[in-house]
Amino acid sequence: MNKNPQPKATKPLLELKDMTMRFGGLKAVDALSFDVKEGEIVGLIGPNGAGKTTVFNCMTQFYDTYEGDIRFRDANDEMVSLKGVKVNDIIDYGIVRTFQNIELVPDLSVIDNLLIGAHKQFKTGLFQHILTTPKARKEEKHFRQKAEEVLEFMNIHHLKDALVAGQPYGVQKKIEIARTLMGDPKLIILDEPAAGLNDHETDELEKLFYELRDKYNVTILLIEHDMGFVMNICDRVCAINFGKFLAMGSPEEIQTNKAVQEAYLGEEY
Amino acid sequence: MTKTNKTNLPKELYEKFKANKPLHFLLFGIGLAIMLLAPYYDFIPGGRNTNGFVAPAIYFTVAALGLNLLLGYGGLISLATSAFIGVGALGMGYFMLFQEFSFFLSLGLTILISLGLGLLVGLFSLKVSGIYLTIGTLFFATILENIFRSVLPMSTTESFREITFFGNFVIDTSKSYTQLRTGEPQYDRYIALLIMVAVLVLSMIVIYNIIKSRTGRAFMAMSRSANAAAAMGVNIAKYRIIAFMTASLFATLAGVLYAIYGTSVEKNIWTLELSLFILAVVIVGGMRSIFGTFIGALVIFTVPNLYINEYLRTFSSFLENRFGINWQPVGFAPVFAGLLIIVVVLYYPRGLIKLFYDARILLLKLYGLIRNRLAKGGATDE
Amino acid sequence: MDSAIRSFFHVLFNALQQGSTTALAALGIVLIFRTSRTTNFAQSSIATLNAFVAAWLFSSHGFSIWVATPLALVTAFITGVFIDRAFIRRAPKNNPIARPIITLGIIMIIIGILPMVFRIGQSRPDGSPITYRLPRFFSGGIDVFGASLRYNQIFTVVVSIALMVGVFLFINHTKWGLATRVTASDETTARLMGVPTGKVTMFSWAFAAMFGTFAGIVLAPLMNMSPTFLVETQVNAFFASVVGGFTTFFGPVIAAYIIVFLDSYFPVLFNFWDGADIWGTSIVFIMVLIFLYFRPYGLFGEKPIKKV
Repeated sequence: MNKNPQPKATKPLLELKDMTMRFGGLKAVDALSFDVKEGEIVGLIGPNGAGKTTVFNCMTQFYDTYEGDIRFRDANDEMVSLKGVKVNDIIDYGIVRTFQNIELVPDLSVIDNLLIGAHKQFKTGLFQHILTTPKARKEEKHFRQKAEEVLEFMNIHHLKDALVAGQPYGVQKKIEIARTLMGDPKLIILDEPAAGLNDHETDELEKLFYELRDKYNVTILLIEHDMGFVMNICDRVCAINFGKFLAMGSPEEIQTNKAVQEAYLGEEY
Repeated sequence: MTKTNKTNLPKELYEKFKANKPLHFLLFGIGLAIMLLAPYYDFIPGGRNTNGFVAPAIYFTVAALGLNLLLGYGGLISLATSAFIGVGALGMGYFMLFQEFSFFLSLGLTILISLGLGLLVGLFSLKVSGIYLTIGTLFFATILENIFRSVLPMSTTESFREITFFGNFVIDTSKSYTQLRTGEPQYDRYIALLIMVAVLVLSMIVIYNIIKSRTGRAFMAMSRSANAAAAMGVNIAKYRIIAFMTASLFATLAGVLYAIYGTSVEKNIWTLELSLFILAVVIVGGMRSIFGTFIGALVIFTVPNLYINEYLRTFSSFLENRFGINWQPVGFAPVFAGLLIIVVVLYYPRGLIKLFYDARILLLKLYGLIRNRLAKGGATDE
Repeated sequence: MDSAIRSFFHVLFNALQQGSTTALAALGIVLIFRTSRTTNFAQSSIATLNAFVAAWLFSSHGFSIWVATPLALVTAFITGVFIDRAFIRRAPKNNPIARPIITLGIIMIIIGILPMVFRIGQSRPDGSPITYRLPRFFSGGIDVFGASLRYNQIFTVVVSIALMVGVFLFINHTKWGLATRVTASDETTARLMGVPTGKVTMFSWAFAAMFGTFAGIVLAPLMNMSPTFLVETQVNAFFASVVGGFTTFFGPVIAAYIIVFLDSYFPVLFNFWDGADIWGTSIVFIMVLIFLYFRPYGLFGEKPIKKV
């Protein structure tokens, strides 16, 4: 079995065009362009402070003052600009993210945390919930079912009623990924998914990503410092430094790229 | 086969009952209503009428439930609770006494005003957050207090004689229940209490249904990290507004109940101090706990006035008679509430409701210990 | 015209005095907020408690105001240290609302302690009510354009401004001031770098309590000393803190003067309108709320860059 099958489709899913983000006088991201194709696993790498998380924050419209354009393939199979879309509407396009510092609700059970990921998919409103109409109850049941399926898939079903607080780091990372799946994502954006995991957990994560792509049909874009992990798993890697594009290509190409080596190891290398 | 079915049926029923929280609230309400009959049948030794002490706990629980939603789930401190209770009480007073509107019209108008003001605070919270927001709510409260005090065309205290709900359904709140024991039964105040209990139970169910739905989860996500919640699709603006409007609605309902039960409405008591008492209810009882809120209200509003003050008064007269020291037991209630707040925040952050869990665990442990002892004892006997 | 000038100066002198006391209270609030990350809602309660200590020394024990005041400042210092050591420092670090809620609890304790200990509102055995008062530091005054400028007002303003200038000089030019600034900007890093952040927060509480108490003592002769006599000052001080922004030390001080001046001159400027007295304060408050809506981090505060 080929560990890294080539993506079937080659249509771009996400495109950055000359994206620049300034904080005061500082350019955190400078005229960055790259794309992510459907079904790919793409890694975004760069030394500390290269602006990787800022790129993610712009993609999810958390920062909305960037220049240039970010385009995404919508439900009608057309590329549309994400500019002006509200942060909380980004999930409607099928873009869901995780965070560098795990952002789960510690006082809620694992399954309730997953249900937060399905927030937008509920059709019933507040008053129906207050009156607990049959429709509201049915809907709640439906999404609980869905959450259980996702938990089953992630192999953490036995924890569904446990509080998130006190769960080991690796489990919390899994819960966060599970939560993204509740939003029916097309693109999952992961901010350092392997950070803080041990070797065994990292191997597990690797396998999980292939399963994710095959079963849930998602495209994955990730930031990661663990180069072994990135080179192993990614179809393509994009390297940036000081907010500027360095190179993009297959892991092998990136490993041998002069500019990337310089960025990581200094000029004299 | 049949045997397992038989043993499982009660267990299944028990599990079902355990899961059906609204039923618990209903049963709690019925129990409370029965207990409030006590003064009519001399349940309480010494013939004391305790209902007057329990009533504040009931109506302030309604306000505290709203604050609990805001604070416990939304992570937002509001210092405007008492001002919104004031809106309820004074709104009813103004519309019913000065405009001579019917009860339900007054209620509707008061609720509309409250929702409008809640919306304003909610809109304000979209731009302003953290400490600035908390202080902002303090200003809202101060402005409302000013308006109560100097703009409302009412005297300091206005009395309701009776409240006509509809047709013949009239509550004359001036009739005291203690008259019952001298002869004629006077159930008017009991009916007022029943209305309060009904509103309390309804509030509990509504809050429960909100927090168990996606709205409650959205609140929790928002209070943990607004940015992360937004990335999950939670519309922060919408939920902040919902949180503030719900809190102000519940506070206003508490004010309405106060007006129904208290026979009078006052202009000058809706100060920060009362807001702090309500905050104490939430913190002491247990954040994010519905029954905890009621327990908190009992501890803050009923216990000091009903029991502790009595003992202190006895102590004070003892001091006076024995040593000639003139010491009045005043100011005890706020010191008690304040100390409880601090102790709970520092050492028991889940509130008094956790006492029940802790007690249960302790009992189970003791039970296990005793059983082990007995089993061991049996073994040695053999 | 003469009466307009007179009322202008009359209001000016009062506003200067009130602005100075409010600024002192605001400085106390910001000092505590910056160094111990606590919104101290009990600022005025602590001040009230210690102002009553001074009044008790003066009224019941015949101490001179010049003796009672330093003694009360000492008790204020102790109160501040005690609150920081006993409560604030023990608060759970992971709960951002724990510490403000503790200060709300402190308000309630003081609300109860005042009548309990000082027996305010009760009567003596002979039936006369128990009241407290404090005199002015100086009596008499001079006449400026028909408005009287009291020596005591000059004294209050001069001492307040001297105190504030002293604080700024201290913060900006001494080793301890540097420690304060470092603690204010990043407590954890400061502690790791060996700055005695514990002492910094402790002294912040102590000095904030002393500033508040001094403000209370100079305001006491102007009003009836009741347990709530400083509440208005505190509300204005909070006002000033949010308008000036919690991120600077000088912002709230400047804002305190602005707010008190607005509040004081409003009824004068709109004296043709009957409602000015009733609505004045509310309108100023609403104006500030609207201001905050558009500048949520105050006049001098900067919006922090958001991060996930």
